[in-house]
Amino acid sequence: MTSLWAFLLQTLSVSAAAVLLLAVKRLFADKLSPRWQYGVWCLLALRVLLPVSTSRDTLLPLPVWVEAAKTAAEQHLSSAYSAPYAPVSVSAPFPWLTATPRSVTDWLFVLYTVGVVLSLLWYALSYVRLRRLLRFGLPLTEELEGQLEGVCQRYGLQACPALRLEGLSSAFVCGVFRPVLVLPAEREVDDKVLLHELLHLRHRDALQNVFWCLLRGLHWYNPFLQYVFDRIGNDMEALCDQRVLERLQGEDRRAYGKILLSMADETYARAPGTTSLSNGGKNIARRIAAIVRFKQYPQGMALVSVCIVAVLSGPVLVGTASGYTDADTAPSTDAALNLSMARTRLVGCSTVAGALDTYAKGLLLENGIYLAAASPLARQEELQAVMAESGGSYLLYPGEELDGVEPSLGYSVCGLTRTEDGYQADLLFAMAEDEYGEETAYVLVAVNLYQEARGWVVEETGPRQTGVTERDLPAARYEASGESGSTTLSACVFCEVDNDISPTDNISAWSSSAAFDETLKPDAAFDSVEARLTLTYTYPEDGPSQTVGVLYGPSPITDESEEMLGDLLALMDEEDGVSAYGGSSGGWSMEAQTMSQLDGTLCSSGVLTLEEVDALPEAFCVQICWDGEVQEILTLEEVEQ
Amino acid sequence: MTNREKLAAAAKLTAWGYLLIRIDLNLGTLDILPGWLGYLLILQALPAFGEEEPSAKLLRPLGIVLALWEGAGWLAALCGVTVDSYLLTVLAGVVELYFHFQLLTDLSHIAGKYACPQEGKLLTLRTVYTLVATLSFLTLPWEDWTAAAFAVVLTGMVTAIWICKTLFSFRRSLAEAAA
Repeated sequence: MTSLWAFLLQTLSVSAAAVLLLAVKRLFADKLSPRWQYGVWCLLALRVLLPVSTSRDTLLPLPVWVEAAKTAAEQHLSSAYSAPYAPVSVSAPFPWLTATPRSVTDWLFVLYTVGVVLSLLWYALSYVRLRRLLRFGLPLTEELEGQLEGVCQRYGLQACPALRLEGLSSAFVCGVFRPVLVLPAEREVDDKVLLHELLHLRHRDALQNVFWCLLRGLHWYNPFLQYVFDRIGNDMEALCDQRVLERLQGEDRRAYGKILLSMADETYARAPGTTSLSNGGKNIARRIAAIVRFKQYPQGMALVSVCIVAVLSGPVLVGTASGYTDADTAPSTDAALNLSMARTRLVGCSTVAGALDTYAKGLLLENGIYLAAASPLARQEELQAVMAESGGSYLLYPGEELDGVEPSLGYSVCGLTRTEDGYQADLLFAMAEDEYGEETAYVLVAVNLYQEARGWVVEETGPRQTGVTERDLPAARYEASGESGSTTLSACVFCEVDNDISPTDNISAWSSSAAFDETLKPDAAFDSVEARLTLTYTYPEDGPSQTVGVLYGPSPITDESEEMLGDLLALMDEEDGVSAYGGSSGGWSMEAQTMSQLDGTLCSSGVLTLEEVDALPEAFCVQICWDGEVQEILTLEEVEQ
Repeated sequence: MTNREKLAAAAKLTAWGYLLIRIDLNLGTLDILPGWLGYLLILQALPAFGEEEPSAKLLRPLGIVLALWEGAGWLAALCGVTVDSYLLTVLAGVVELYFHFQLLTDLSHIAGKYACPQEGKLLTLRTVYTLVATLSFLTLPWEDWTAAAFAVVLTGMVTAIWICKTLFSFRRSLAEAAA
């Protein structure tokens, strides 16, 4: 934790987990044994030790709330530990200072850090003082030694060094590595009290106590968690009581309860690395209640006990993926806009397709939240300022270049290629049909994609181009020449996210055409990746006399292409002659025409489905046919442009 | 009314309760086999079971919690409102897990006491139900594990039907012995 906001998020998440655990423990107080009641706290221990993920909601959308609060609070501060638009993150469960404090939030964090150090020092000091006090301990009397030995033998337990101390009201064990059993000097000690302390010793409860004290120190400022740690201590004692009762019979159990009752008025000074039968009057009542229920806990509950912990571990430790709701993408108030923008800073686009889809929809729908979700963190302030200026609306005018764009036509991704840092691509937006005549014209937005900590982001590169047609699109170019002429092939890669809402899914079921899905899809995958191929074949004047045909596809020739070649030759051999034919299958395309239709050049279009965006073949193969016979096979190599 | 007759009547209520809880039949947004009614039926049966197995009496508050939770969901669906509280869903989930585990355990013990043949089957079904319910609650990538998700859902459905069937046969066993 390196800022006030990180520690707020961590402590709120731990508190939420504690609330859930307390609620569940309350429901099962009389149903599941003290073993479970104490054991379930291991989930809280893990929650304290694991840094909270800001991309997941642990029970409540705490990361978004804290992020929104941080942005509001830090707007007018120049903090050294946090910035208004840098998302809050928790890298470790303990605090450390990274710079000299500058603002009030920085100083509060320093105060917290100092508090942690002082708390831990105080615990260490208490322990040292207690150990020094033990120097004045008296050796056990022979009678007491015999009693201790007898208890150990009877219950199969191991003893540790023991001594008597004057002024002590109850026995306790002190120390983790060299534990000492400390007994009151002025009063008799019951066998059951010795049994209780020896069981603490056996289960290393003093070590557990040190562990809980460390966690307590990390959250010294949180009174609710202080109460929770008290409850944990009480549950540890109740578990020890349970272990004692399991070893006692009949009247001894009642007598043990009476011993606890006799301690109801005692005060208890908590010290790390110690365990004591007496843990304060208030807590004794709960332990007595647990003892009363000792025989009433349903038996055979091991399986369901484990299952309940397993079910709770998900929400407490992992949480749920934080996602966008409809309200997030179209906030209606200033406060909602701030929360939506906080979410965009924490929840990014997990895929390249998701980032492109989100950004393109942001431009199409003029939605600032969409744009922010797919934009670098460096742009968040600017985007939020623009939206705030327009009265807190999430609508954001994307620029005059996109004025004629028809949102219902969606968008296309073209030329997606890998770069050193990520990817580059062109987003194409179709203009309304009457803008540029018959041929569809596009607005082209060139973008780069790269990864930030929260996911993929999109950044525009260069000016937006208007009036672009498909011929102008960037494409890989392949060429080859031979005795039968020259061939040129251009391959333009198109990627598509499925944004069609079929008429049956749509509310307007009477409409026959699919509608454009405007929902935010930050985790989208490409539904199809294909290369649109355009082959141009130029043949010599003394070439074919009747028909000309081409069969082309990725090199090398396959069985499938051999079959298609047979079809092509058969077509060209027909008595009537082929007027025009084109087709494709499995990445291979063919085209055949009569000479009367041609003027020395045959053009053909085909489609090649790709496994990945970067999977364009190194070479293409063209089989040239004249008058029903294969004339030549050319291999087209990619040329630099 | 003898103990057996009381237990047979309680087992009948429980069997119908399970049927209502496990099977959803919707008319528009209205579930005509509401789960809350199922829990109310089981709550009616608990005192009879509690006389044989004291731990069954402990289920009463949990049964009320589940009936309220189911009732709230049923009302919300009827009004077209979505109840979306992760915290409450988790709480209801663990309560449901314990409630059915304990109830089926108690029923199995009662079946054993009265020499009914369903004793072992009830325990097995309880264990399978608990494991399936736990799996379905875990935060696992079920979208990617479609085959596993299908297996869990199918096992859950089969277990639910089998529990209903076993409870009805348990009622018959008790009623026949009483006659």
